[in-house]
Amino acid sequence: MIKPSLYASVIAGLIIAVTLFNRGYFEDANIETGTLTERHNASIKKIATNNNSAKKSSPSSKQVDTLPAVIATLSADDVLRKAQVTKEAIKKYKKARNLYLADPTMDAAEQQQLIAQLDKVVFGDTAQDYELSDEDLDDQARYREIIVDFQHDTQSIKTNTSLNRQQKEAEIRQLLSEFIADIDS
Amino acid sequence: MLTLKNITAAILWACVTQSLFITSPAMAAIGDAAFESEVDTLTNTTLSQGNELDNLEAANEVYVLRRDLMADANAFINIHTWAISKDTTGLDTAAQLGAKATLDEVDVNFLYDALAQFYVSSSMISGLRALGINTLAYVPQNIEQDELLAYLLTGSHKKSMIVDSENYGLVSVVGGRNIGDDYFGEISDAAPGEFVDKWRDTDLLIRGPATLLLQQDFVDSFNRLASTPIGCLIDNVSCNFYPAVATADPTADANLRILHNDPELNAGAGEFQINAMYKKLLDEAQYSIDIETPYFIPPPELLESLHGALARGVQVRILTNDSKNNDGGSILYLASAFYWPELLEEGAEIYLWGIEKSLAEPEVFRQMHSKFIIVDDQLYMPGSWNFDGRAYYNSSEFGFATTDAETVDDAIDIWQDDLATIGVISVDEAWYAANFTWLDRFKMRFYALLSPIL
Repeated sequence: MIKPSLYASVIAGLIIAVTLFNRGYFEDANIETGTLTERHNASIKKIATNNNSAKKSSPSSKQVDTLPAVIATLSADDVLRKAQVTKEAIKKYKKARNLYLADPTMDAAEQQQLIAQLDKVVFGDTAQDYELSDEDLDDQARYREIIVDFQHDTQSIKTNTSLNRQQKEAEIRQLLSEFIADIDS
Repeated sequence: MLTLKNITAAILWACVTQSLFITSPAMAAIGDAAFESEVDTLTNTTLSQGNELDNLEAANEVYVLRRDLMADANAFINIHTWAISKDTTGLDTAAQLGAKATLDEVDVNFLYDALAQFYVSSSMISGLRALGINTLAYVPQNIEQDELLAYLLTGSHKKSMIVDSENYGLVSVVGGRNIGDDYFGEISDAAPGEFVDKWRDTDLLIRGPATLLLQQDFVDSFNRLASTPIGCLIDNVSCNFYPAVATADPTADANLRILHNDPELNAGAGEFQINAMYKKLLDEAQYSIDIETPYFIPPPELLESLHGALARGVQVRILTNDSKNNDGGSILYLASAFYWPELLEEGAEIYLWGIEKSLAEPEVFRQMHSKFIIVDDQLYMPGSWNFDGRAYYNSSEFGFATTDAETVDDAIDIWQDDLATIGVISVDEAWYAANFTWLDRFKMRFYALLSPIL
């Protein structure tokens, strides 16, 4: 019979091993590229996935036969927190949500659908922890103004008869750069 | 001594051995009619004939081509990508798409992976939307939400651009490239003979009937997620999505089979045509298998087939990323390396894309991101599918198989050029022993356990 303390030690050892290995991985990600590249993102997604599998008892039938049991010992929040990316992820999440809510090209139903998808894709079932704050509402107002101004300016370029097609495209490129910079400032 | 009995025995033996020799070529060889027929049934796809294909390798040339194609579009531009980056290439492309939508009133439909774009840049999507582009995020629809593991892993990894064309009806560019500087940029200080692109990638230009199938796939993928559908079905003449198509060379007759992996189809059970094709190719190769992939982390079924091919005496060559060139960092690199010793022992040749970073731009990652297989020098299949667990189980992917001699020969040249690139490392047992510590090997064993989701 396995003693409970021995069992606990094995589990603890596995968690420590996972944490150590993943720390190395995230160091690589931060050092080698200033921004997250395709595979890094996918891997973060994977690791987040691993953890949430611990909370959910019904992984896909396609996966259940192939995933090692040790994955279930991982916790997405733990790994992300240890990797110091949780804060960044929440910031990105709030920004994306505020952009949806500020976007006048979407109706309310579309906004809510996209936010629900975002909640699920990014945080699984923990998104309710991130309620809208006054700061979020301020950001939404700011984004809405930037988007409306951008659309207005774009339409002005379209109707500007003094510019040729090439000049108009160049103007749109410039406006887009400013738009992205304003949003991300 | 020659006796009647011996002569009879010799004749019988000759007949038997001859029949064996005859039997072998009579089996379905890669690319022959019997093979294609079997693939039709296996993958539930058909071979499109009468196409014009062009392998697209050099990053800048592909970029210019894409811009020219978008500039010529009059009715629509349909783009399926993993993500668009917030960099020069991303902004230039977004601005061009925005100009087409705003100034020329071209319908621009843009399908991207939700989680990928979330990490890359949410503001780029806001910009595209404000410019009148019909953007849509790919999120799983048919995966049960309580199956969170599958839900989070399921993503869109397809890459295609389809534009209408005055001369050809439709033109498509497909393959491995998303939209960003990594895929289309060059380093500024490459010496003569050195590799100049930031990343090595492979795309395919398609003209002809296969573009109609690709268009149908895009419409299906988009409308499965969209609240407002685009286009129409392929047999519906009421929309302009399926014009008469033509090739630049009227004699062009390349065959092309468009395959996909789509975990969302069949009510979430998925459809995995590319996996089936890969297995068949590995199982039936007679002479050679050449695999170029950024992340070689073979699913068990395909690993078994690779072992089988090596046991048959098939030459197996694999080109994947070295540690410093793998954007997945040590997890993906070491998980891949776990599989090498046994393959090397069985005779496989393994090469690593190990080109050095630019001194002028040390922040630029120099990755090999190209994904293709060449089998028996007869069949070439580029696409978005990586030789790894995610592509095998969870991502929507494209594969484009052709036996067109000119296209395959060109791909063979590309493959040989890649192997000859300065910085490519040939892995053997001695190299392996010298480059992996005992800790690396311990990590490998652990990471290999995660192979199904890497």
